[in-house]
Amino acid sequence: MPLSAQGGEVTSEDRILSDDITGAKILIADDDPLCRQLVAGVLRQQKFTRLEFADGGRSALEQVRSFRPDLILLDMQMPDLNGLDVCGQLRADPDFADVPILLQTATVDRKKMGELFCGGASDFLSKPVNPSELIARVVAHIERWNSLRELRFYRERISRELEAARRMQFELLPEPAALQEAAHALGLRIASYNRPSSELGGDLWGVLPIDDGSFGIFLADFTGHGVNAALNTFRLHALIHEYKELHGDPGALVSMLNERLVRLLRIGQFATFLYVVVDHQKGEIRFASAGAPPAILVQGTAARARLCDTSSLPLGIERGVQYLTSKRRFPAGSLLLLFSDGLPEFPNAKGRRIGDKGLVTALNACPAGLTPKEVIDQLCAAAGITATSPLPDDTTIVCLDRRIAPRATPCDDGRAVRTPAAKQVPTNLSNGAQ
Amino acid sequence: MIAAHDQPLLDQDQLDLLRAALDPGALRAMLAQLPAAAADALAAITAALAAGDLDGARKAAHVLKGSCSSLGAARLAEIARDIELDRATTAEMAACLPLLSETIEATADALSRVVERA
Repeated sequence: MPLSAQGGEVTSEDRILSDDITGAKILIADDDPLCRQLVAGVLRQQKFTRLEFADGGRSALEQVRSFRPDLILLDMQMPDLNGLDVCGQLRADPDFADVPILLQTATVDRKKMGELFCGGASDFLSKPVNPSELIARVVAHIERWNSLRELRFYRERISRELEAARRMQFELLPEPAALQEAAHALGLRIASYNRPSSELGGDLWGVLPIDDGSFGIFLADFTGHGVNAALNTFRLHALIHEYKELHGDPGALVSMLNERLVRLLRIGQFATFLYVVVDHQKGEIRFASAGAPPAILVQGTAARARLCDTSSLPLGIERGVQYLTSKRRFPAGSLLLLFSDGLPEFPNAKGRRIGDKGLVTALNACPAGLTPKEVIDQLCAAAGITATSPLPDDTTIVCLDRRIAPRATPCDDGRAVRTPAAKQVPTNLSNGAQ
Repeated sequence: MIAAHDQPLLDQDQLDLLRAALDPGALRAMLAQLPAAAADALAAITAALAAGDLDGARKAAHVLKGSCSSLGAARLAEIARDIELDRATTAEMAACLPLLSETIEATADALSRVVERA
């Protein structure tokens, strides 16, 4: 018999509760068996079936840990441990910090009601038991709990998937130690910095072995960041390796990548791309750029840093663009710096950006003899980037130099390395990028 | 005790709420158990008072108050509340017991009629 038949009150019987609600596990803790029976009877009438009981505060604590309820109904006054104490102990346990706890109390004292909420209760139930109030509050809190739990599961799943994607993307990048070792054998030193602005980034860089005397190095930056941009880095990575025969010809490779990406990318998506062939045998670099920030080149130990002009359209915007190959000398003692726009456009504490020219100035101010890693550290410091700075954009920096003598340079184990010209570009120079 | 006498034996509104929310069989079973539970509470209060255990007597009265108020036994609930909260000494509490006993009997009688009708 619905309450609405008796004085116009609306009862929860008017509403059919879903299985998500009635399947909730509810613990009823009360030292009075008749009160437990009454509350259970009201809940069972609404099709709640997963009910467990505790006859005191201590048994409630034990039951909570074994039964792991979705909602707890606690009588305020129980002889061994009162409801508020049980509530406090449960809230101190991270496993039950959020579980809905409804305290049953006969009090109407405002101060005591306040204490109840301060003590961690999610809500109260008045005594004598009012069945409609009991159902309404139980349903509201289970709905909230279910939503919270679904949201948490969803967030955890997304986090796990993003982490897996981040690891996969990280694996596309050259492995630093192997790269360092391989570069060292060629009379080069190389260091890199790569930090996405969120879990996944739109920057990608890599090294491509070409022949005995040269190798390629590329740096791409897709529009935006996050999942879209990251997925595009995987596409680009696959495309780059599809055109192995073009790796020695920067203009041809960049032109081909543009043709492919124009067809793949959605409107509004594009990538800046810089590809440099480092010909350490000839002592030159050949490069082509698709709208990338200019590389910075220092041609010899006594030279000043300068920007390599790279103005052109980014990849994926227009069909038929022919990208040209430029050439610069890269004698012993030279240094090459590639970076994505996250570096020059990083807003420092005062909101100022260092810009391309600021980077040139900072590079010229670097003391002589710094390793590429130290150069990167100096430039990050000059731009205001610290290890803990949140980055508004994905940031990649690659620094390469020919400032070590190629011959008779001791390796870590003390042996001299062979002449770079005589040594194959090791496959691990592009470890992870093949 | 005057306050207790002012209370109706049964709270019809509360009983109506229970009828609307419970399976009739379950309600009958609970109402049928109440007199025995009240008699147990009376025995517990009596024993506690005999032992000079005021706190024990209050706790037993508190339990009685809870079940009686929720199951619509209004006068019994008020007597239990009076023992729990308003009586300061064993003698004062003990003075309530005859009325408590008498009201349990009257409530049992009234509830048996409710149960028959349900």
